[in-house]
Amino acid sequence: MPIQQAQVDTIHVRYAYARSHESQYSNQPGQDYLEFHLGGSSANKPKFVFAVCDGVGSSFMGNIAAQRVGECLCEELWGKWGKFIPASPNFGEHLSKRLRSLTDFVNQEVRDYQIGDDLPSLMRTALEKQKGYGTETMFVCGRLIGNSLALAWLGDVRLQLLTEDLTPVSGFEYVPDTNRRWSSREGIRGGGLQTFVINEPEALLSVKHILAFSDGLLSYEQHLPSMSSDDINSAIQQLAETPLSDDISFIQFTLDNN
Amino acid sequence: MSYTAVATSRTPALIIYLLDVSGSMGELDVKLDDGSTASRIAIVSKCLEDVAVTMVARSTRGTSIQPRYRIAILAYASQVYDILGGVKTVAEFAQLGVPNLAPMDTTNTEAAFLAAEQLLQQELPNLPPESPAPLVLHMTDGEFNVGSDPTPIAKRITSMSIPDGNVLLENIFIGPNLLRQPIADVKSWGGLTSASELANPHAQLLFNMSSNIPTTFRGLMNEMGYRLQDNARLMFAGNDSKLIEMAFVMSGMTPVK
Repeated sequence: MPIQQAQVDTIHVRYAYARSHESQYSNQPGQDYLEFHLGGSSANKPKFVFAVCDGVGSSFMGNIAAQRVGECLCEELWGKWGKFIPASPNFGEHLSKRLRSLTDFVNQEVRDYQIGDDLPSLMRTALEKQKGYGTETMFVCGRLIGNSLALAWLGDVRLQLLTEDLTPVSGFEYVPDTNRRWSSREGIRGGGLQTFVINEPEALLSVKHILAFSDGLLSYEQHLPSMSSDDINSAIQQLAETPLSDDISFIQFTLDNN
Repeated sequence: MSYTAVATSRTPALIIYLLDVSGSMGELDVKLDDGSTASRIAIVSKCLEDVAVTMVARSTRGTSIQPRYRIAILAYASQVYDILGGVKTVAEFAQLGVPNLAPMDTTNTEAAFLAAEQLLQQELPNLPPESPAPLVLHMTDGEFNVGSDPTPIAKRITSMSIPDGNVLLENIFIGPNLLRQPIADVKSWGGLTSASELANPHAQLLFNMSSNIPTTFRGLMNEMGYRLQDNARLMFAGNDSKLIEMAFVMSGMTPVK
C-alpha cells in the first residue's frame, strides 16, 4: 500500500504499509501491524491514537501478536466508554497491566492454531516447537488528547518526536532495545515498557511531527521526516528488491500548532 | 567485518555436511544425559534432525518455509554418497526429511573432502555477492584408513572465499579421551584454542585445519547460553552427546533475516 494521507482538523497523517518480498512471494501475511484513529477536535475523545507493531520473526506467527497487541493498544488508548488511561506517571503502569492481561487470550489463540497435517514432518516439528515458545511482538503506540501527548514503546520499532525544524523534541530520548518485547507467554519481557508523556500546553507546542516506523525502513531513518511521499513510496519499492527486504509500516502525524 | 552477511531467500546460506558413516560409527559409546550410551551414528542422526528443525524454524514465515538455507549431505565410508542428490533448499530438505544413516565400512576422508571441494567449485561462482560464507561441517570418529591425508584439500577449501569471508570448515571428532582436560559442563566450556589441548594426533590434525569461530556465530551461540571464547576454533572433540549437539547447532548459526 503506497503512502496514504488524511487530515482531520489540525492533524495531518500520512502512512504506508508493505509486506516483505518473502511474504509477498509466498503469499503470507505481513508480520507488521499498523492501526490508527483520528478523532477530531471533540473534547470527549482523543485527537488521535496509533499503534505500530512488528511481530518477532523467530516467534510463532509473529503476525498474531502484532495484530492482537496493536488492537488492544488502540482500544485502550482510545478509551472505553469515555474512560481513558491517565497520561500521568502511571501511564506506563496502566498500559503494562492491560498488556499482561492480554496473554491468556492470545495464548489460547496460539494453542487453538491448527498446524496443517499436509505440512512436511520437519516443518510440523519446527512449528510445534515455536508454538511452545509463543508469539511475540515489539511496538510503539501513542495518543494525543487535549493538551496531553502520551507515547509508549517496547523493542525496536522506531519513534521520533520532532520540532518544526526536524530536531528532536527536548527531553525526549528513544533507545531501541531488541531484547524487550511482548510475549504471549510472559507478557512484557526483556525489560519494562518505556514511556514519554507531555501534559503542559507550552511543552506540546514544540511538538510538530510524530513518526513511528518498523525496522524495514531503518536505512531511511535519518531522512524520513523530510522525505516527500513520492520519495517514501520509491524507497519502499526499492527496499522490496533488496535481499534484506522486511515488512514496512510507517506513520507520521504532523500537528498544526498555530 | 567478515561473516556478517545474513541468510535470506535471495542470499541463502550454503551448508555442506560431510558425515563419516564408517563401521566404527556403530560403536555404543556416546554418553547421554541419563548416564546411558548411544551409538555414534544414532547421535549424529538425532543432532542432524535437531539442526534441521532449527534451520526450518529460522526459515519459516507464517506457514511457509523461505529458502534461507541450501544444504548438501555427503555421507562417506570407502566412497562418498550424496544423500540428498545435490544441494537442496531447506524447503526441499524438509520435504525429503532427515536421512537414515547406517554404519558401513572403511574411512576415506580424502574422497569426502574432494567431493566437498568439487561441490564448492560448482556453487561459489553462482552465489550472489551478498551471500553468507559457506560452511562445511565434517564429522568423523577416526583417522582415515583409505586414501591420503585430507589436509591439503581442506586448506584449498578454506582458502576459497566470497566477499563475506573464506569458506568455513568445522570439524567434529567423536570418540573418548580426546581432550587432555575433560569438559565438566558443555555450556560453560570456552572451546578449543590450541591443538595442545587435544590428546590425539588426528584430532590435532583436524584442529589445525578448522576455521576460527566467527564473532557473529559466537555471539548467537552465547545468547543460547554457551560461553565460547574469542579465539576458539570450529573444532569439537569428545563423546558427550551435549558436545556433539552443540557442534551441530553451530552449523546453523549463520545470521538469518
